[in-house]
Amino acid sequence: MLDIDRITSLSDIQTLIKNNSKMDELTHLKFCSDTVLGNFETWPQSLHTALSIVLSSKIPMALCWGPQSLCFYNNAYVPFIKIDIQDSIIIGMPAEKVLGEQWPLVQQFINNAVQKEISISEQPRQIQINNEGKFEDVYCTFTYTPVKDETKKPGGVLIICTDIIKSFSPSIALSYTALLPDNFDDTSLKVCALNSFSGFEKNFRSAIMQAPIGVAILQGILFEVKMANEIWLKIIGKTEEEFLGKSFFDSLPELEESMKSILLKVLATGEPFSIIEFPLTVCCNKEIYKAYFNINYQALKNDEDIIVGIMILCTDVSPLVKVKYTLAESEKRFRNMVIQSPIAMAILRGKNFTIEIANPAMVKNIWQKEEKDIFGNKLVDVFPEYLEKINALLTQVYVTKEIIRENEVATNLTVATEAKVFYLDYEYVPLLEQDGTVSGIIVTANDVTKKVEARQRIETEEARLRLATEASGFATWDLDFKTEKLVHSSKLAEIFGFAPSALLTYQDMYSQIHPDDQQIVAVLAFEEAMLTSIYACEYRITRPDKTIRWIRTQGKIIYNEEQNPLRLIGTLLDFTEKKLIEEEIIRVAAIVASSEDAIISKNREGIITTWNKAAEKMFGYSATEIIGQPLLILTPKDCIEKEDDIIKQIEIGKGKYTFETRRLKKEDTLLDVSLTISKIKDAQGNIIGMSTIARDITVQKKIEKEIAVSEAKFRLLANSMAQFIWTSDTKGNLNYFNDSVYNYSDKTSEDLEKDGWLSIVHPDDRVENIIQWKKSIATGNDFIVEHRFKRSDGEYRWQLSRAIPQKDSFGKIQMWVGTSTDIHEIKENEQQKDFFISMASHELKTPVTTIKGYVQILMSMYNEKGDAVLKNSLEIVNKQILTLTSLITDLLDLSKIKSGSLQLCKEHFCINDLISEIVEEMQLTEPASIIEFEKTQHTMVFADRGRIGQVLINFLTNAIKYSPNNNKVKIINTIVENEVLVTVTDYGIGISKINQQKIFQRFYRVSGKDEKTFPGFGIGLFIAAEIMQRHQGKIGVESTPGKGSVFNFSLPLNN
Amino acid sequence: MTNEDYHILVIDDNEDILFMIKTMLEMKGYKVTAKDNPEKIELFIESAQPDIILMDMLLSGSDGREICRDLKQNSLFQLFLL
Repeated sequence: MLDIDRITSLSDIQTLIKNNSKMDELTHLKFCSDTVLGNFETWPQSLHTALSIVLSSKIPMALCWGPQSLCFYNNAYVPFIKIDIQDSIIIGMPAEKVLGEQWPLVQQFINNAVQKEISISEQPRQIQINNEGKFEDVYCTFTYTPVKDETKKPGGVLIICTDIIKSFSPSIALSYTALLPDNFDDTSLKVCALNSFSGFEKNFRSAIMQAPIGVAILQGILFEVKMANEIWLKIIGKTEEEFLGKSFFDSLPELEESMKSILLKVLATGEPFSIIEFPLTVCCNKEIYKAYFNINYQALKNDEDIIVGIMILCTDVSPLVKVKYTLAESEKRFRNMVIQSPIAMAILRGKNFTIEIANPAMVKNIWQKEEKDIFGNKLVDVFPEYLEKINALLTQVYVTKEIIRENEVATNLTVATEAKVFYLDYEYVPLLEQDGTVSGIIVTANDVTKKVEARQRIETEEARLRLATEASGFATWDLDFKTEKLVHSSKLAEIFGFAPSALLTYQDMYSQIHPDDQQIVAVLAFEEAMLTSIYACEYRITRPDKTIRWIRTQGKIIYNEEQNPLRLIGTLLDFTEKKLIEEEIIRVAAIVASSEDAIISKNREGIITTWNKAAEKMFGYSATEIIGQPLLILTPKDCIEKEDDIIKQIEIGKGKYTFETRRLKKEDTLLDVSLTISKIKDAQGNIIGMSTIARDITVQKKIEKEIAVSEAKFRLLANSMAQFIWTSDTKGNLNYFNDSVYNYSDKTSEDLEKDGWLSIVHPDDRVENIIQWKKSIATGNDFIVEHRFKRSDGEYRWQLSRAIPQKDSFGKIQMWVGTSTDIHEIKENEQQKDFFISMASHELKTPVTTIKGYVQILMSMYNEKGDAVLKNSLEIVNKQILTLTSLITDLLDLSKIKSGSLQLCKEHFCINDLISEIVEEMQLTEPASIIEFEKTQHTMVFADRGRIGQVLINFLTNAIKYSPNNNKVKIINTIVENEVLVTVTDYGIGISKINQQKIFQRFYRVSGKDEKTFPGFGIGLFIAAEIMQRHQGKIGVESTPGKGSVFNFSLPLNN
Repeated sequence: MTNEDYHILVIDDNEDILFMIKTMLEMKGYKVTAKDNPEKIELFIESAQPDIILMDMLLSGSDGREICRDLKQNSLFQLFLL
């Protein structure tokens, strides 16, 4: 029993109905109209489901629904219906109306199935069906299956035709037999057909009559025509009356010769016989035409299996034959076409690739064989040398059924006894049969030698062009947009600083581009190229060796057929040198334009060709109005120079000639100018003009005049002075002396130039003079020296010479201005004074020493006696004598210094030992003071021990003397570079900055209110400084008033 | 030996100084002979037999240094420059 609990959606049914063609349309129409079942949507689900099964099945099915047995059926069921299906009323109509005479039988089964609620099968029964207008008898088995509705009760019955035995009608069987090919082995079908023929005897006659082929039945040895259908009669062009009941050959005597023996043989043996495509002239509807027939002779047997006659089946195969002829004709044409084709062609048949046909173009030109050697032979036998290739290639065509092409195969061929390389395009086309199998291959060989040669020529040209470009310094490159692959010439690698063999990628190149230029190369130039198809830019690259190169590149975009850019090809040039020249030109142009000097050029005819801004300003003419005018309009009549002279001067001046002259301005006023003239040459060195650089020297001239006047004044002034005045250049060469010098020495300027100014200096003073002068020239410090000049009367007189450097605004020395003042009288006075001091101090020494001795005698005598007043008095006398002694010693030293007789007695000693000794001594005389000294390492010097001690004593005495409120003094001894530095620090009254500078001068003393407090000549530090100077040592002071002073001296270390 | 055992000869043309030195040395206990000129000094040295001679370098009439050289050559005196 069919289970229809399965829910099928409404849309499914609608889809099925739609798909079930005409029947469904009708069904649908019916359903939409008013029926017993009502609206389609309101049908019970089980009906929907059952109907969907019916409609979707290929098996003939019908559904009888409800008590009225409303009938639905599918397409396959249509032949079982008696009534014309065009009548739509039958659908959904009661089954009684649909099934007609079948209904009573069917009704029984339906009722049975509904009652028993089981599926019931009917015994097979013969039924006549309407097969598209033709009626056929078939045997069928019908099954009746109840279909449950919602109430689980059978709502209807499904009728399924389960088994159809197509009981061959004799006519159909005969048709088959006639159409079977002659060599068809299986006779069972024929037998079957014949059996069915006998089995359905009652229909025999009608079957023959209705057969779509000509059929005739002949009986007996006389071949009496027992039966002949209409088609047969039509073929032979006779009526039934003319033909039936008579001997076959009586009616058709023309066939006796060809057919009688056949008929007799069939009759005798029972073996069927066929004639294929038998031509016959047929007269049909009074129209005579040639037709082809397949004629089949079958022996007819009676029930006892005895041959009683012959059945002749005659099928008109004219259309087939005609098609066949057409095919043959077309194949012939095809072969002709192959043979005559100018393109070399060959057809290979079978899986052995046998050469079926090959045209002369192929045989003679390509294969270069004789036809007799190839036709019918296997290709591999003809060309054993290509065995593997042929097999591989042709098998591929067989397997893939696709065309294979081999392009530009180089082949050595001999043409007119000359071996030559040909290029051939081969094409292997599979020959497909109707069933899709490959039966052969058409081979074509197309000679493309010219095309290839042409291309090769182009390639050669291209290579030549590339060589040419490379030779001219250009590199070439080719960038594929899709793959970003870059192909370039070796020159490009060289330009980028690599070996010619190096291969660069686009990224490599990009990374070398100067960062400032990357935007130009990668973006801007590309955007422009996309618009114009021309790519051009200039940029800088950095080679691996860090050098910068200027690159100019130009390219063109190559497009495909769709106008999409494919590649960018171009050239690349290193134009660094050119770029530098360009930049130089730009720079020169900028210089010319911005020059303060007028720059003018003229051609050989003297016509002005260029005129810069400064020229406009200087002469008042604009460039537009003066260019094209002769340069002479600027020249006053009295200033015209001869061209030849100028050229001569240019040669003397190594390419340029500078001179001062005057030129005319536009408003006709004169201008003082300095002109520099040089030649302008072309690339070949020919003079094509002159360039003139003009400088306005009006102001300069004015200044020069002013200077001349002021110099005259200065000379007058200088000469009127009694003092000597002289000047020197920066190198120290004296170049001016005022008249006083000449008057004093009675020498002329020529004498001084010849002998040198040093000739008037006292020979003893010359060395010191030169040393000091050189020192000043070298350092730029003021020059001060005292020396003697020889007067005209031969007397040397002392002069104080001073020179100071004259500096420009940058502080650079321009010259030296010196003066020499006669200090002879002053000097003599001073010498007398020094002599006096020397004498006085020496003469003072004896009385003072005598007094000192007696005071000491007295003191030792009266100390014992205890006279306090006398004792005190003697001590005061003694103290004053000591002071007096010290003053005398200083004066003596001073006079020694002045007379140059201060002798140094140098020795090697340790300065630390000296300091310790002196500190001990000082502590004895100044017990109130605390002198700190820390002895450091052993420090040897080479000096006058006594004098160095004297300096140290001087420092310590001063330190104690000028520290009334602090008794502490500190000595530190350090080594600084190659010197030993000794500092003496006190915490006394200190010295002001101004006084610090004077402190080492002779007779300087702290002045003012403290003078009384601190007596002395003020020569102690002068002597100390003198001592240190003679030791090539240094002396100095640092001090803060009120806080104390630090005196120091340093001596070279004794190495 | 004590200071009294030494005999010092002092020669100086300045009588004030001569007397001063003589006094100072005698105060120290030395036996002192003072002379205001170097005349006949050889005879004097022979008779008086001084241990030490103190002499000014610049004496009027004669050079102290010459006298010293002579003394050194002709006697056992050691020369010290003070």
